[in-house]
Amino acid sequence: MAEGEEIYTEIVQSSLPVGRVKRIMKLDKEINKINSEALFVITNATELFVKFLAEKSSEVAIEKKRKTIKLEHLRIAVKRHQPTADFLLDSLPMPPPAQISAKTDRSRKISDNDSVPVGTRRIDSFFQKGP
Amino acid sequence: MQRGGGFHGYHRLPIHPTSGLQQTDMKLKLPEMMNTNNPSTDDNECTVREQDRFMPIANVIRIMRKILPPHAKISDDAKETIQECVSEYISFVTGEANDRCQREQRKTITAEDVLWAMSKLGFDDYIEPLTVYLHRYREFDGGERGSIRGEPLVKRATDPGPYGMTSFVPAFHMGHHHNGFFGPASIGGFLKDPSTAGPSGPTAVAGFEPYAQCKE
Repeated sequence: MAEGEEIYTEIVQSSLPVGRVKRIMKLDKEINKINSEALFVITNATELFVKFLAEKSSEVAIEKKRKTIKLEHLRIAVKRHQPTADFLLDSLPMPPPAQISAKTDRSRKISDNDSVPVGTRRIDSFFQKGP
Repeated sequence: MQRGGGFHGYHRLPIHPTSGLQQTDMKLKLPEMMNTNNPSTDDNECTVREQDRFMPIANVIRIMRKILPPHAKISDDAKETIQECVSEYISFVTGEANDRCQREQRKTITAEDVLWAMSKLGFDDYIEPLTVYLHRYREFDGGERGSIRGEPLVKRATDPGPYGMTSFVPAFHMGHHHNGFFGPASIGGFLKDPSTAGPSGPTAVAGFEPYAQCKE
């Protein structure tokens, strides 16, 4: 890079459309006005959040030796970050019920061998390889 | 695509103009922050088009691709869920910012409200980079939105102007360079020690000098 020949953009421009961000904000009827700086900050924060979800989900997928990031990887990633889990975990689509009961049965057997209360689900029951 | 009834208010409706669909939809919990106890708001909910409630999926995926390993794939349900998570996030932070705004009896949400909300909700890691972007926004985006992009800063090598810096990289391009976007090291690497930044001579800086813009 020769001195003085770089071309850089000065403004920060998110990949996300601010108009859409604003529309989503306004879905809440309690919101009155948002100044443009606030909109700018939220838009960029949202982009950071997307990157965060991508990075953490990807880590989980890699742990499980998968190339495809799946919903379960996202769920685990969300759980691992407390502030995100607090608001997001309940919103994620439920895992298929058949899987849950099968895992619960299996984990109950395991937990009988340990000295934990019956019916406790081990955390790794969530991490069983699914179909 | 029908979903289990977990998602607060952002359920995916088939493209349907009528509000009759509301009753047939799955158990739907509206988030507390939306404060929707009256049915008229429910009607408004389902007449909002899906594209108005979510960020465009192409944009979301594009951002993710900056972070993910080159051959990573994302399942369709993960993509859609992330799209919904994004809307939840926006609403969540906005609601908190709005609460503060109202407590202080103001009507307009400001950047400070948003930053405060993020800190309160546990997203402290974002505060630093957002503050940097905000300063740049205040410096440059006042009247130059969109038009300055790509304009060369060649002059700055010899004429530092009022800013005292010659070059810096748009923050979001950081994603290209490493996957550990949120590692403490990467944030630290991005933000130079503020005590060394600031209007100085026409030194050519190959790295980042975001705090050069800060007039604290």
